[in-house]
Amino acid sequence: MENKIPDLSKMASTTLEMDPILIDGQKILFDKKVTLMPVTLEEKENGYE
Amino acid sequence: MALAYLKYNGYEDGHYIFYADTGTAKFFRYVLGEKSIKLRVGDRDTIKVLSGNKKTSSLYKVNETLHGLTSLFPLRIPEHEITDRIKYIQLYSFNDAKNKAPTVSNILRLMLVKRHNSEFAGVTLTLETNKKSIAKDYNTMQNIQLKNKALSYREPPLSKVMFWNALVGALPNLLQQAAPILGGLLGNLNLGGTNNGQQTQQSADITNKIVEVLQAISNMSQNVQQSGTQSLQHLNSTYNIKPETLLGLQPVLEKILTPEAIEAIGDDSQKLYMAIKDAVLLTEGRETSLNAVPISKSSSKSIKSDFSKAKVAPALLAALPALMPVIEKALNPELIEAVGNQPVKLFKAIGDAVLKMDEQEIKHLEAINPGVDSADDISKLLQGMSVSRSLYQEDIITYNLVKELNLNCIGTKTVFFKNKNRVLYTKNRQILLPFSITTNKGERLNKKIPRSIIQILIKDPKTSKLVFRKTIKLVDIDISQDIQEAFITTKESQGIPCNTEYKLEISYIWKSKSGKNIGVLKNQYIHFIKDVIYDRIGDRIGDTIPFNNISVHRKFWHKIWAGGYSNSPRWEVAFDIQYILALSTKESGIAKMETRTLKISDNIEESTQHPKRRRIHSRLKSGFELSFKAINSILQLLNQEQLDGELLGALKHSDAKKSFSLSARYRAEMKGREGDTSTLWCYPEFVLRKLHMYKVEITNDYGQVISMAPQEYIIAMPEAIHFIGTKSER
Repeated sequence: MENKIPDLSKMASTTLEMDPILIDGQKILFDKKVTLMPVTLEEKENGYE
Repeated sequence: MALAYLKYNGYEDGHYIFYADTGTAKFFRYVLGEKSIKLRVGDRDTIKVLSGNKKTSSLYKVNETLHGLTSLFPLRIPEHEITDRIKYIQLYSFNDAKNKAPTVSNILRLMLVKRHNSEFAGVTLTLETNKKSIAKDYNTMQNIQLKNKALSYREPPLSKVMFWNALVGALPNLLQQAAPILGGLLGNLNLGGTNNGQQTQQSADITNKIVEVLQAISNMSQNVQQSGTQSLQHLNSTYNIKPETLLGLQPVLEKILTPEAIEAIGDDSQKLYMAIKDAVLLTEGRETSLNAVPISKSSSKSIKSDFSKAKVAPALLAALPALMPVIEKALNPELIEAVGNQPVKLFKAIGDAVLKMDEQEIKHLEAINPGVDSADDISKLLQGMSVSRSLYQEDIITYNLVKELNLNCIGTKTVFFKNKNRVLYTKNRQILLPFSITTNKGERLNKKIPRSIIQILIKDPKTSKLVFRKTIKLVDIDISQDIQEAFITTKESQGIPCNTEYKLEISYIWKSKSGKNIGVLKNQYIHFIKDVIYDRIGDRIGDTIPFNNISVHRKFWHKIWAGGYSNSPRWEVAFDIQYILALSTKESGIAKMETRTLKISDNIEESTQHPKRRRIHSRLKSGFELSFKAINSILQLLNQEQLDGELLGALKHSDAKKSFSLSARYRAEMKGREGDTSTLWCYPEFVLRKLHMYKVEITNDYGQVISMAPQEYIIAMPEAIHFIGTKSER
């Protein structure tokens, strides 16, 4: 069994539709890679706003 | 029964290996192609076949002698046949050599995937095929502790950078208001020493520089206003700015800050604002003339500062925007108008309003007058002022500042660190803080003070929160000599956090003839360090490394949403996602944070019946928390050298965690039919970066670090997030 998901972020969704790749029995609809940007974060003690 | 089944099984000796099964069919061929199309078969059914440029193999006969209990056999395809243009493979099986009763397999997609080798020196290519089921293997990365926790992070309403940028945009207005106020109040403190021709020339140069800066900023602001983007509220009154009045703050700053401290402040306006506030608190109504001091002076050796006064002016300009939010928050426009052209009155009104507030009143002020969306920054400023005031009034020995005397720190050494010359003290030995007392002209005084006190305070430079306090009682101190009695023991410094900038405030206090406390002080910005200190995270090394193996990287895969909708034939959902990456210095593992959703719209609310197409729009927020220990495990996973305990300790007590405050935003849209379910997954890509640290080389007898050696290590950082949407198969 293969365990590695290829980077599908540049693949058209129609292609994924035709040749599905499965995760937990569900087929992948899209894979979007987003670059992380630096932000200012503050942590709340109780965990809730 | 004839069959055509194909499955990828790896790479070996220049061949890609597949398992094929043709059932009872005796002949087969395989087809490699660029495209896949659907062909209609009969009235209803379709089959997928390859088309376009394709390569068809010869017709092969199955070697029946290889068949055991199953008809499965290995199919070896030479590596050179699968080029970059080949994307698909399909197996055809036939009953005889005349292509009778053809059967076709599912189409497998072939992808050349970059796979990093263990040394990261290059990549090898391997094949991946489609239609695979993802196995779960929880036995890998067991050394990383995984938690689920509440989403406890948020971005401030407006980032600090944007906040300060907005204020700098309003600088001309601010200068028109604030400079005469401060200049008027503090200008009378500008004492002697200006008769010297060289100093007069220097002062004129500074004035010219300030005028240039003001004109440049004024032009910039006018352009901004013309474009209609200026949104800050402007005060009605106008003042004729006199740049010289800005210099009224200079003698006060030089009295309370060492030259090294002024340099360390740089353009940090909030920090300088707090320093100015300290000066105002100490001097307002408390100035003590030298005549009141029971000291007989006689000229002695002179200590002259070689610090250029020109360095003060730009920092001062940068600090003034900090007054703007206080003016806007503390006073209503009517009061400002009533104050009119009376700067001292306005300043006192501001001071009275802010200093009398307790914490609840500050919060109330923020609540009723949100104004600039920067409540947190303002809260820090206001709280800093009130905390400091209470400290001076209750906990700290208070005294009147002797204007005519200076406390001069002796032997201060700086080390270039984080782009500035900074004063660093080691925690590994006792710290000595020698100083001298001189007049404003640098002359020593021949005087013994029978009873005096050294007060050492260490505070957070931005909030004025006290982190260390010490008093040393002295008897019969000759202030014509250097005073060597101020010190901090190794045990005392252990409780002060490392690698953080603090304001060290040294006061020398004694009794005046009238029995009141009088004294002098100096502030210094310092760091306490052990043997290693964090500098920065530098350039990236190599490509990003996707954590896309759901077996090996299982703990980094995060299912942030799963669901579906019933009662409507079709549904569509759109999520505005924010995914946060943060680093905790308290935890030792990793944590997946809970997902929070906030519904923006739902068309079921518009009608009493379920719509045929349910449309939902929500905000979705989730995240992932790392720790330095987890990053060490990631380094191990990526075959990199792990950071030792000393390095981890230095990182833990540094501001390195700020580099791990990251966020990714994406709008995900999914749709389905009644009964369909969907999920949203996230997984990260990491990148290796250079980690720059410093190691202490030499310390002097005062406990100051005078030499450090740069050290370079490697650290792993998250670089990107993959958002994967899935849907149940029908």
